[in-house]
Amino acid sequence: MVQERTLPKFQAQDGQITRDEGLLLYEDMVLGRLFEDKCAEMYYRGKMFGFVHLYNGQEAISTGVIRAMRRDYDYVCSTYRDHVHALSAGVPPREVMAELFGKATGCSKGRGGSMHIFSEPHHLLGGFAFVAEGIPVATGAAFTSKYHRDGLGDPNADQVTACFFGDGACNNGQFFECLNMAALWKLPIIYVVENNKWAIGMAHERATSQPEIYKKASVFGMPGIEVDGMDVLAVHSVAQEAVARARAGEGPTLIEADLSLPRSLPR
Amino acid sequence: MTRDPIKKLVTYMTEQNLADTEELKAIDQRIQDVINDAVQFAQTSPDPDPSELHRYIFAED
Repeated sequence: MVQERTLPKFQAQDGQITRDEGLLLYEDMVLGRLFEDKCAEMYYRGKMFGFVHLYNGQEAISTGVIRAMRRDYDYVCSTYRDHVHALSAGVPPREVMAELFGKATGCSKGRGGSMHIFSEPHHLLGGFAFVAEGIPVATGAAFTSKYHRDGLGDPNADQVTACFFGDGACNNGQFFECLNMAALWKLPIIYVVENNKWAIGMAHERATSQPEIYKKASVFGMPGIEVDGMDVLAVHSVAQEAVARARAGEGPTLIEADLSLPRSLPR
Repeated sequence: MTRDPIKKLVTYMTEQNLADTEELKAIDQRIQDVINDAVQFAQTSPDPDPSELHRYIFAED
């Protein structure tokens, strides 16, 4: 049973991993970091246009959560800061980069750009420009697997959905409505808040009556956990627990990954 | 005390003797090559054809 706890320090014993697991997590995070560094370079050189929301510093969350799931089977739903979620979900770097360049070989045929990375074979549902837009979509994907399993009687329909969003999205009506439904129907979903304390230009504390987002899950009878978003081992072990819960039919979990960044990175 | 998640993992892996820095640097290099290849691929790929401009807006038969 998942338990509430406050930000754990980086303790080796909390996240025991094997060498192979460690190398996998390392490689995934490096892929995300080097890809975003290259995006920044291309953007400043004028090769890429429009909105570009980089994920530097947040790699532990994408890697920790998505690598706790089954690739091409479970669903991932992202935000406008979606490049690295796509990479962790297995979308080839070539396809993501081509999409950012607006080319026909991009995963969205060059029509989506930075904020609309999508891949049907990798079960990446997007890529959404509007804040909180992905939350109902992800909840629907979770409902699909639940419906297939309990409604249509397919015992193999145990796909879990991971829904990523930011602190700003948590003040949106969609957030509350979907958490209510997911808890009520025990949907196989994990809600992951990537809390960098900024909703574009709005400071989290100035916009939110209860800034500790993980506490909002208890209102729905849902477990809510806070984890250090810079610690991939902590995120990974929390995600594994949440995914196991969801797959076993025990219902959703809200994970708040705290990303208190020491300085503002270019967003 | 570093806040960089990648550096934190490197510290953990090396302190727990799960990997050495040479090995991790080799991964960095391999990934950098993957990224450079992706840029090359993107730059040499064709733009979407202008005839596609009005597609995917309404349902198509």
